Amino acid sequence: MTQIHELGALELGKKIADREISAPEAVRHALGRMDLLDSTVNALITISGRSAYQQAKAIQKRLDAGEKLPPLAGVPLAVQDNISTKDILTTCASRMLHNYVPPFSATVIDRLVAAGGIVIGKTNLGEFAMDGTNETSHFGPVLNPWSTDHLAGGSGGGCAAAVAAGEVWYALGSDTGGSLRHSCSHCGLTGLKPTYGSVSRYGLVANASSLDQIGPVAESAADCAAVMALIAGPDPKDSTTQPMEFKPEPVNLNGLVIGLPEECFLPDLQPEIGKAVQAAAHQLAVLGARIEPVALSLGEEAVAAYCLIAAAEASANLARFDGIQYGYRPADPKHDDLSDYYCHTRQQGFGAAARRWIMLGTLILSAGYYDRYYLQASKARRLVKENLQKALAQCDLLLTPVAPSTAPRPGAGPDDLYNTCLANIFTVSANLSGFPALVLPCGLDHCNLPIGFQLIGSAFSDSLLLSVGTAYQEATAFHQLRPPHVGEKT
Amino acid sequence: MNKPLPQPLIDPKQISRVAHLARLNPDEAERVLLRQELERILRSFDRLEWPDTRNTEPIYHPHPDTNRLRPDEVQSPFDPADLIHESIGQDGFLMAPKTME
Repeated sequence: MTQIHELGALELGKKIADREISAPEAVRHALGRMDLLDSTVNALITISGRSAYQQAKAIQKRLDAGEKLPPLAGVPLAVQDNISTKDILTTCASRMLHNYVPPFSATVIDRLVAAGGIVIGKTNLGEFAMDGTNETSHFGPVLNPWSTDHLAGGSGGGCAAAVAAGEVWYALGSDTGGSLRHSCSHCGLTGLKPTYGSVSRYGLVANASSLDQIGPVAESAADCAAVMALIAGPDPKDSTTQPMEFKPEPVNLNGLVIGLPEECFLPDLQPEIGKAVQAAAHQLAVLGARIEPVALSLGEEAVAAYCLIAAAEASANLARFDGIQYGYRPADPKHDDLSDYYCHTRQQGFGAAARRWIMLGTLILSAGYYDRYYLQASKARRLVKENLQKALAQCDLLLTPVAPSTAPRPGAGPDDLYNTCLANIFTVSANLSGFPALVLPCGLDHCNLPIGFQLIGSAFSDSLLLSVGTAYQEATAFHQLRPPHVGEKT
Repeated sequence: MNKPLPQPLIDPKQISRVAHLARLNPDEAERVLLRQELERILRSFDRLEWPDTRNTEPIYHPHPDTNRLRPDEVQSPFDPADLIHESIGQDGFLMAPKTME
């Protein structure tokens, strides 16, 4: 018999609407899973059980009174801890914000809660969503529910680990250079990096504002589509949001052209990933799509441009944290002057990796370096976008791997920023161009670790991506695979 | 192609200057590490065969023409005083750190 945590988000929502399962029962089940598993995987920084239970009771009352609520009403969700939640700690996994309780919620949270969503926890991430593995979290790394010898990926590993471990049914994370997509790929989940401007960033603690985007993480593309239907659309509080139509409908893949860039199958791509991604392309062809080779340079220049732009924007965004109004305050009683106080606060409040990003960003924005590095990266960004547009003029969607390898082991990654960024070689182009990208599970490697593939579309083709993803998942079962033995303590 | 760029060189003074701009206070050991790492990164960038961008306009945003204005009206959904953590706020005032004798 299927257990509650084995249901998809929409399936649970339907059972709650049909009153086969009550919303408080779903919350109790989630809290039980967290109690059983989270000391092992470390997916959550804060569990808001009491407020979740209160919300669940209120929703149940409305359902019992015969009110018809949206499809995900009563389904508990987790939210990455860099998305503001009123009255719930929002730490960004940093000592700098270890005690920060926002007085407002992000627009995406307001929209989900208005539709009956229940925020039950805040998920772990790399500090300020800046690293690729989540090992820089002030609260320790997130381990992968598929193998606790491996990481969940990052920076948003907590989102993916919480859903993969069956602690929640869906989650919201952020994606700056591929973090949401990497962690979904490493944990066998479906995740969407929406078009920049399709989902409000109001209330997302900014890392790199021109690259950041909030997106859904869930078991299936259908679940992600249900979340997007609730969160997408213009927001007066975020002037970069755009009017858009989000209407995923069943799609006939006959006639759909999917471009497969041969450049993606690099010599250092883990061979099992290459095979699984090719098999996914074959499956889409069986469903009627035409797979065409396309030329797409995914060179190191795109990664370098990303690395420079992300560092520059992060250094500017993180300048606001000085310990005066909120956040970490050092214990040292005396300082020479206010500047000395700021320096002490920031030196102690930020972790070593965040300080490295800030130093790099500040350096390349300073006189003598700006033109040579930041300006060059911003020009390269235009070329990356034009390159992607050119490839998408030849096809409807592009199909690529997500990561060069499956989930890494703790401490196994490169220790310098540039090589850390190189792991994002397949994902940064979508952030630089603002285009949407969907990750879908497509296999397991010899260690039983999940493999994902990525579909990239033109701006505001989010509906098409999710429709194609749904068609793929109706014909395959990779998204239904569960981590074996999760939670069993040996 | 653009002309090859000279090797970057970051001297200790530049590290101190950047640390000051970033309002960070790294100790000597961290300064040495930062200098090595930043030099390594800049050298990695310089080694790449960048495309010819002399006639390319930079972009700073995925959709450069999207920013819109809204009416100049106060719309704050919360009192800024609510941001002040209770451990450092008192009676609506902020207890600033002591920086002078």
